[in-house]
Amino acid sequence: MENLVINLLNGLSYGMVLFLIASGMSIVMGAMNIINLSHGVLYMIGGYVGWTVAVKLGAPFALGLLAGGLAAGLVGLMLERGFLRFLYKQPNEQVLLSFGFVYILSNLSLWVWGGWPRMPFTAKFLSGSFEILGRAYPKARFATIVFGLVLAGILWWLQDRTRVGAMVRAGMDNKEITMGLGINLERLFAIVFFVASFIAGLAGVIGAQLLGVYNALGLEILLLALIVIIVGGVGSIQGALLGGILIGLVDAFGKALFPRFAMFTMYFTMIIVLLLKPRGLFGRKV
Amino acid sequence: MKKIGLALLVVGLLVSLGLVSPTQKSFAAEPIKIGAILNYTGPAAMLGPLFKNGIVMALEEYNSQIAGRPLELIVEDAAGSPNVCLEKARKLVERDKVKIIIGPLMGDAQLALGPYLANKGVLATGLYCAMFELTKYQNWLIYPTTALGLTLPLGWYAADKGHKTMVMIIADYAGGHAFMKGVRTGFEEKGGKVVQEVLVPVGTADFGPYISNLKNADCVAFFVPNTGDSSRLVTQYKEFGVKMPLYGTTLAADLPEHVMKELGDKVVGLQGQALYIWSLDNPVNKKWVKAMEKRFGKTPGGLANNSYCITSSILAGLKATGGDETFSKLWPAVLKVKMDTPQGPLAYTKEGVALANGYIVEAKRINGRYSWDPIKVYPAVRDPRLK
Repeated sequence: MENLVINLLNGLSYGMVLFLIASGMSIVMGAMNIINLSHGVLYMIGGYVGWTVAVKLGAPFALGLLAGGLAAGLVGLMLERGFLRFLYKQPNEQVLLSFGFVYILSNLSLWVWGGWPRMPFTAKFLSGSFEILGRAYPKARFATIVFGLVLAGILWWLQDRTRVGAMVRAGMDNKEITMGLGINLERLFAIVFFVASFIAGLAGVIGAQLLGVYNALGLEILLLALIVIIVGGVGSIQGALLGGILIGLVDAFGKALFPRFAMFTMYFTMIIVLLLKPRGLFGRKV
Repeated sequence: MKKIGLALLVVGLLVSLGLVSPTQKSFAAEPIKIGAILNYTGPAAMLGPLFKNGIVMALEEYNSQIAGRPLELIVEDAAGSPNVCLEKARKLVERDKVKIIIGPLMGDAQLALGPYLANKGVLATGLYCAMFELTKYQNWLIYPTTALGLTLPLGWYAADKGHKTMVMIIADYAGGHAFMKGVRTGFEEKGGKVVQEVLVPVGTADFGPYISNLKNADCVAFFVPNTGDSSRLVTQYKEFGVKMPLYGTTLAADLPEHVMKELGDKVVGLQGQALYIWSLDNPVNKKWVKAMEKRFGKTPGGLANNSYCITSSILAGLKATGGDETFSKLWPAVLKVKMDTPQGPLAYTKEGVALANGYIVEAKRINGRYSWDPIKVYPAVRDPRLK
């Protein structure tokens, strides 16, 4: 019983990190039809900047979160304004360009932060563990779950219950008519891209509580984000949340129950979902 | 016309007397090329520069020349991939014409290179042990011992501490299995029993699920490669509050002091096997550490020691052959090398495997500085499979 609960918590906490990475990427993909493969690197940059602020400069963890989010948001905005906005409706070019930026930004961060991985870090009050069913469980992981759920709530509210969200959804469904209604889609998309990148950076700092930060993270995380998006479906917060939690749980229980096949369980889940629901669990018809 | 004829005659005479020998002169000045395949990108990107420092130091101790021939180092990026390593080795051998290659680090890459380098008569080396299977080619220098030999002392030590049962966490690749086989061999030799083997992929981000499902035993021993994996495992093990004592392998290399500082008190008390620590108390080491600090501005660790000792023994061999790097001459010369290194006394078996000290260390915090402290030495550790 306690094993089950611990594995469940492990899966949920990892799943929340996956959700945070995938949500931004999924919205950008769905709303703007942009495939931004450098999303994983934005996550990594967020993690590194958060580490610099919270560990190296010794500032509070919350400030690290904000700095990580802002740094990734600004880099993302630069990518969108400087490059990607010229490549709307050109998926091949988007893939090539953003994948190029994976290498450029990875190498830049290698210059700035060097090749040494950074240890997992968290707020002072979140370090250590608490007792659950007689077993110790890290507080930071529990906080990750709570944080992920809160952010999912906020994002869902933004998407489904606000005017801005309605505008984005309208743009997703029919760009021309939305623009015809006098909505400045270009500015809106820049904002969406910034917010998505901001969340990636935030996720980088939150994820660093579990995983630390290291240079290969950008590509590793990208792969996970793509799996979550494929499973959850493109363009919806609910999809990213469900996909993240599902993949997180599959990974945790896979490692616990079939450790020898742990590397494949995620992919196996993806294949099954693709066979049953090719658009993903919450995929929008675009 | 007469003058030209005379000049030609003089040149002819000189050449025949051997006073002017264009070919010989260029041979003498021809550099001895040494290839190195080190990690500069990929998951072990931080290790390349450290290994290079050790090689450079060894070369500079010879003023970068032996028997009048300059020593030329050609460094390639291993990129953490066996395929890339094989390509780079081909480039070094076929284009640069090297006869000596230092590296690569990872066991799978070494196995990929094995047949090719043996076929080409290249003196090859690992950087941190090497796969035992390579001994059959008789051209690999394996330092400081085999992967099994390296971790053998940890198995002995755990049994000496009175532990009867052990859980092993093993990075699931050739090198990982080889390292943990050493712990198992040592532990079982002294009557211990391994009750669970947990295989984890290299680069595991979240060890939580594995740690949550460890069986009960007297102790847990692990090998996971490089700083990232090791520090995550140690951190997460502590977070999950597991009570079984944890023993690490290749500790001083994977968790160097600046990483210990970041890990803080989480790491204090961790014991395990280490290959080299800068604080080893012998005169050669003290001198070397000073020289390294002066040259590179930081205290050297086990990785720089490895590449330094390997390169030094090759250079000692080259000196013995009078600068001839032909494999048939260089190989026996290197195997005869006996030297005092920063790590301790060094000799080679006839298979090319080094015999060196094995250290057990403990993480301590003394006056605010975190460091590994040697608590036990096992001299001239030998893999039981060697004759």
